[in-house]
Amino acid sequence: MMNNVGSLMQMLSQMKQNPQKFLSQRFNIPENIGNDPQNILQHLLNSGQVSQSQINSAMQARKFFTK
Amino acid sequence: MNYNPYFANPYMAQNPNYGNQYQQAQSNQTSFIGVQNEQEARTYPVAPGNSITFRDESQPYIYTKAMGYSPLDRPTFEKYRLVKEGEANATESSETASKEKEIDLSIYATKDEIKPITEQITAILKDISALKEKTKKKVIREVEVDDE
Repeated sequence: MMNNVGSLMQMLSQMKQNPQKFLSQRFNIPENIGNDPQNILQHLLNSGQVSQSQINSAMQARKFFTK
Repeated sequence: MNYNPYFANPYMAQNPNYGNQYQQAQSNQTSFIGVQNEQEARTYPVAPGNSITFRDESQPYIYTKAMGYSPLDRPTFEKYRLVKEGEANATESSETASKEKEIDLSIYATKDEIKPITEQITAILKDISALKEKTKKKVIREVEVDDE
């Protein structure tokens, strides 16, 4: 239990320190992909980590919130 | 290294529903995705082996973006102009009319105008041939006189 809480706390601190690096490691995104969200999404699609419908939903949500 | 993203994916092993989601995504290709401009459609992420159709919300255009089965393939992007059926016919007929207007018919003669000129030319040709005959006969007579 303590070990789990410890690892969770470590994960949270990593996320706080560098959210982009944390997410890149979590989703196996190579560093050469860069910061461009479109490139990151394309990589996630190419590697089969997300489906086209999930991308479509995410893009719709993004559009809705950035209007 | 030859890497196949669909089989060497840890996410698929963790999530048993992933395959179903992916199949659903593959079959769900009929709806249009609204975009603000061509650039947005060009940069829209598309899965390998998938094709997406976009509808431009600000201009009458339809775009399609298709990806090859390999992530290394370049995407194919096509742009189509949306034209209503009735509007298309109206545009075509107006274009034909404007082309006809462009041709200046005043520089051409009508058949009725050409007819008297043709008759005159025929008459002149007849006169010329008659003159030729007369000259021929005259020359022959002169030669005969000279021989005598």
